[in-house]
Amino acid sequence: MIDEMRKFLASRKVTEAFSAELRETITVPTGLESAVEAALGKKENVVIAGDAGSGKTHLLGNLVEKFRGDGFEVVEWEETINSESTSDTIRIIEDATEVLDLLDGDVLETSGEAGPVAVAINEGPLIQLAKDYPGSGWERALDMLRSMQRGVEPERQSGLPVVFNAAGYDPVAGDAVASILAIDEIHQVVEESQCGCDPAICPRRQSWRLLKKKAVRKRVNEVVDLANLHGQSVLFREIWNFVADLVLGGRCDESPGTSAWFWRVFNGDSELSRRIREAADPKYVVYPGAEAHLWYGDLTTDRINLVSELSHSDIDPPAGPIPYDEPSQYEWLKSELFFIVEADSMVEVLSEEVDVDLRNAVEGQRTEKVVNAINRYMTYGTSRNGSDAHELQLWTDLGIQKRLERVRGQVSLGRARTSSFKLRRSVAVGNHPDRSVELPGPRNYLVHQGGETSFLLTARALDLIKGGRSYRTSDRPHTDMEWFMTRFFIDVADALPGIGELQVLNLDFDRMEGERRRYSISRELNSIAPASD
Amino acid sequence: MSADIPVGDVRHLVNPENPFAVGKYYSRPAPVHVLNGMLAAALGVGDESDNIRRMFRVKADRGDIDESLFPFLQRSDIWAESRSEFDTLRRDLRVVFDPDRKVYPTRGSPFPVHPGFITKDESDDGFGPLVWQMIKEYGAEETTLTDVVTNTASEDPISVAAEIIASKSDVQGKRQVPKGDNAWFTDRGPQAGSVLAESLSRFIYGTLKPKKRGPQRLLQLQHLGRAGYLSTVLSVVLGPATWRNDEGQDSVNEIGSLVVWAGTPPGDPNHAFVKASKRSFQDAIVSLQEGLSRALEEAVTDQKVASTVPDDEVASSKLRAQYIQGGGDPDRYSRIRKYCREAGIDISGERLDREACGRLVTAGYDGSLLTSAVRSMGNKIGFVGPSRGAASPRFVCETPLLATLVRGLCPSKGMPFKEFIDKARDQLGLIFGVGSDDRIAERLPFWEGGGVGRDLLKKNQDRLKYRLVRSGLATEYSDGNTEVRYDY
Repeated sequence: MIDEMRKFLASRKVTEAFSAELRETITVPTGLESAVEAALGKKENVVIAGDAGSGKTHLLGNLVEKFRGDGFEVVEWEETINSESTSDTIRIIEDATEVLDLLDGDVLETSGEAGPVAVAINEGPLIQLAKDYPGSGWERALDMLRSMQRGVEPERQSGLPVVFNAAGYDPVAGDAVASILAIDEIHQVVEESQCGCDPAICPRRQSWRLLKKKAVRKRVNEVVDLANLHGQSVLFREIWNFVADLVLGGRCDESPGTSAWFWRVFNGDSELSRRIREAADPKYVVYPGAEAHLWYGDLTTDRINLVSELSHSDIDPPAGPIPYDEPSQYEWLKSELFFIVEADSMVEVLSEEVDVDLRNAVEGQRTEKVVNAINRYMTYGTSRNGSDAHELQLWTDLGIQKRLERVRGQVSLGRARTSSFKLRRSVAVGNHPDRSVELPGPRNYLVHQGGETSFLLTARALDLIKGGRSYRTSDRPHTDMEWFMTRFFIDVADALPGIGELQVLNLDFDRMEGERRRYSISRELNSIAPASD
Repeated sequence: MSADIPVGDVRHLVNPENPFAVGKYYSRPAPVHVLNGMLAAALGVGDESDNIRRMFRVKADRGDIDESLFPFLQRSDIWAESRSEFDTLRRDLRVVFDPDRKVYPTRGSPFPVHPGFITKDESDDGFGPLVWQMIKEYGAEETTLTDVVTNTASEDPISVAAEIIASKSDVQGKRQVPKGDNAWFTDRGPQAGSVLAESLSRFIYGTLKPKKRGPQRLLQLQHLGRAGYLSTVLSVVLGPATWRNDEGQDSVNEIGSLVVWAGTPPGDPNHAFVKASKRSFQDAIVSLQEGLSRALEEAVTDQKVASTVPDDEVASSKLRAQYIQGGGDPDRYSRIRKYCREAGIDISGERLDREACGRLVTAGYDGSLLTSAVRSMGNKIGFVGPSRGAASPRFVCETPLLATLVRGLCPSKGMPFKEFIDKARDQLGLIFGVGSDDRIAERLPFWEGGGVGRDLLKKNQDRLKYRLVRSGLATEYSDGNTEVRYDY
């Protein structure tokens, strides 16, 4: 098994190449399996969308084993085309791309006589099938997938398939990285590392001891979560490539040893490592009062609090002060500290680099804070902080021409109560018969309950909102986000009833002031008058 | 900069075949002017639009406004009692209905959110009615435009306020479309002209479907404005090129290829692709001049003059006829004769050759003026950058314009990203990337070689994809497919 694990880590991680034993070893609980199992158990058709790196084939393969073990008949779907199947037969399509020509618009139509269908399909073929068979289960599955990806809960309807967005599931939120790093066989691969070093001083093996501690593994999981900062999913394949690089990558004979896992988290060769490095660099993290001690190799100082599972004997201090011409050793040491220093959260450690205020509000579902921040942003900071938390003002202007000078003002399309919005994560399952099944994705959205519209709250968007709206037309990141926001506001306004009020904001950038005026307007009375407060 | 012949005179010369030629004040036509002009030609002018315009200008004296046309002023005493309140109202209405600041004391174009707002303002330099004439030739119906402007039944406050203000302004008296029987987009023009016109019409038309109600209509009007203006710019740049090489082109990029920087505008001037885009811009200007020259040569040759005209005056007479046909004042033709005499351009004889026509064109439309004109116009909708400075202009795509492109080119069910690249190229001549045409880099002269060009185009394409996704105009799926789509 150890050899097989080593080969697996060094491979392309294609699920078809696994033995059943290895499959069982590397399977970590995600919640997806039980959700798919429950849906099929209720005879619902299931569509699992996402590419192979998202784990959908692996997921389906595990389920096949389980259902067969439970006495169900599980057959390949194409075997049933010209023959009959009973309602207790589960028909699977492990990879729809391979049988695309055989698929038609009726595959997902519910029939009491035939058993449920479970199909794993890439998004590209799903789009094609939806176009080829309008009105079919494929098209409705695609519509649901799109809603899920925007954080909008898809409409529940019996007779429609249950849709799983395997690529939209956030394995990191389910502690998948921590679970994988706890696998004994992986630890054994490290112990039997083929680097040729003396195990007593091998940086790979010595550093790996820290990962025997649950708190450290959890910290790694939190660090990987940073890669989600831009709202891009972390796939299972990416996680395994990341872990493989921690286990096998780097060199022990370099100074400092680049094979140490904590170094590789930020400097490894995997895509995930690159994304983590973009989001946070440990060399910029500051340990107040402790930096000098670190430099001189004094890790026993009481200025460094370690996580509770660790003691100072668990870590290897450098042998004396770090030479001035080897700053990489200092960075190496800070990488190690990153994972073992006491802190409530990774975000707290990175507070110098990441704006935590709004991010915490999003995580904590504090919609009012987010709405207030957007209101302040859209009014160029001229509104009083906290004054606009109860409703979202839908500011816009009707300009066609590119802005070459400061705007004079803007008009509101209306206002929507904050209570009509929710902060949601993208979801990985839609139309599940069990309403309590919720599998969150990595993206955060501000969703308007009245319509099917949402605004994506990436870390970048939150930074821009927090940083304030620029009136300089050269600030392009603002332009892109504001376009997205404009569309959101228009869609929200579309769902609102008329309020009989026109609100205008005049802006004076010299004094950074905004003057709001409200007018009552009535089509029936043909009147415009100043609104009474 | 001053031309050797007044720009206006050269414009008259080229006008019959190329009515989208720029005028002396090329920076004046703004997108909202062109939109207003287009609607004025298609639907008519609001008969009280001048009063409405004055309402939006606080500097216009209150006495200049016929208040009987605004019943809402009588509904509330405050407007009569307080001058400051009334002025504040007017200031606020201007913020709402004149966001581009194109309403002036004696003329102007507010945002045409209601047909009663449409003015007879000619600040569009005639481009608005021309765009209407062009798209009408290719199947656009008045009702399509009517719907987007007149569907004011929405409850959004902007539409409601507009309806109240314009309650007594009816539409009548359409703005005249200039006669342009020989224009490149008519059936007397080159086949390439029909290809370009039909493509631009489909693009503009695409922004109007599906019909939108409510506040969505306001966004649709903005897209219509941008699409109309982009079509104007493309007509200025590519229209003359349709005369250059009429050999059965099927797509706009065979008429002219405009390489567009897809990254954040205006781009690093030292970036290889930005340099390619600059060359593309320069190439477009040269092609524009050549097209004007060729069209002028052919047009002058085809002009009919009386058989009694002496042989050595035929060419000059034909040139004069061309000038008059293009709207020139016959008494001012002598300036052209004078210029030709002083510049040594031979207009004696029976025929005006290409060189002579070329010199006449560049006397009014030199490269510098055309560059400034296209830069000025393109910059207004984020199609040319940078906005200012000495850096060479190039084609770019600001995000609102990108949204208009998606709106106008994509069907409502969306399209694969590669197809979007292809469509932008084939329908509008905009080169963002390779798309499905692997050989395109070899056909374009803006880089060192096909391999280099292909690499640059692929990276530019990725930049576009990133911007579309970031702006919510595309979705990238985990299997590498990207779908461009406006509505979800």
